[in-house]
Amino acid sequence: MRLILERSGGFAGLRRVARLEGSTLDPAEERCLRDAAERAAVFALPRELRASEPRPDRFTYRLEIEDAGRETSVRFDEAAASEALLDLVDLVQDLADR
Amino acid sequence: MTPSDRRPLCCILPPHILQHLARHGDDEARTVALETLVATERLRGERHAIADGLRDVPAGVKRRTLYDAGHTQRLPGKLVRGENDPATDDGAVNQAFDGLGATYDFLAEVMKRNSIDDRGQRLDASVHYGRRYDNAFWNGRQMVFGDGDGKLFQGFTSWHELTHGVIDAEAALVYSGQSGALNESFADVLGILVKQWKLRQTSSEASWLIGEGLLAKGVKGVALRSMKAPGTAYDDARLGKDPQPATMKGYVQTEEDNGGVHINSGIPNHAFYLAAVKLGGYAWEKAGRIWYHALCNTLSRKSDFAGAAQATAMSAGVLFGASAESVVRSVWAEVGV
Repeated sequence: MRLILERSGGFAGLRRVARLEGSTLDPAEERCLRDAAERAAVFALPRELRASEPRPDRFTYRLEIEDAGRETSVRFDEAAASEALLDLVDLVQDLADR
Repeated sequence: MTPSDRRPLCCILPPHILQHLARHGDDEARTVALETLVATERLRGERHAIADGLRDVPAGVKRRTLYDAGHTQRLPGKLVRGENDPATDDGAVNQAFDGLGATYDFLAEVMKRNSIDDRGQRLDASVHYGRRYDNAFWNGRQMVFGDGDGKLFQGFTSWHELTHGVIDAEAALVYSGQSGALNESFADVLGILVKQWKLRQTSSEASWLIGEGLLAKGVKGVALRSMKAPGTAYDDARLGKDPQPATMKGYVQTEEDNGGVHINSGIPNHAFYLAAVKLGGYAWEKAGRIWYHALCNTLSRKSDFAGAAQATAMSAGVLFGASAESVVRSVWAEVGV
């Protein structure tokens, strides 16, 4: 499993990138990540998930994920993301920050 | 026909038509439109003079309500402090309460504006949003503050975010590309004016740093952005280097950040800084009023940098005459617009 999460925007306007490889995670973490991706239905998401209009100082993300032969890339606004997708974002950032 | 003969007819025209005439009309139409805009300003000034004479404080009453989102993303959360409640033992609540108050006071006293919507809008804010959420924003109805991740940021200020509400209520600049960078810049401009006004700093005394003191200890930087010297606020292994340009030569084309709105805002930010310094004194008295007038009268939703240069120059002329207009034109030229 391979995952890249890029974040831009926010009031600070900073760019943050998180990269995760299955080989560097322990099995439990990888399972957790896979479950979170399933709950967020990432492989069923459109390429772009935008809020009706961009809102000031909110984050915008680009997620690239490859797992078990499937791959996808999604650009989304924080304000347009489901709770499950935001949970995935939180988990990715927690794992990358370790 | 003298201008005064034409004025009664022009007063029937709504502001957006006057503005169009001022921008695109022939010389005669332009003169009449500008004179009417000036006359409207004078009338507005007279109304305020009368109103202020009737009571000792500006119109409008602060109505602040603070909520605790309890580390969830559900808003607003639990009510924890109302306008007439004393300070709580939650520093985040009290800091947000004070920040909302300072912004309200600045808008009321300096810009004669009654809260965000100029109609006494209540000021609601939620703190402790999300888990280690390193951001703060205005969601169209209220302020929302995260706690920061503790590593790079230590808390947030209200001023920039709250003034996004004012921008939404006025020019409503579309939040992408150049209009988005202008939106960001106006939020920085109004935010920095609140700070300088609170501290009674002249343009030459002020630091012109946005988010000064927000970076955690150990981070190599002084602030998030510099209006005086865009691109110099930070240079840190984890944050990266401040990417802001000061002039159009450094304009960044990107798909991220809605077209780099927080990056390219460096250019109009620098134009404002130059205008404030060249006009002298306290930035809110001339440059601030010019920019605020443009936001409320001469800018449109899709204005680009060139449009902002025109709009602020026009506003400078309306408020302070030809020499101020010429200063404003020159600073935009200096940043390459």
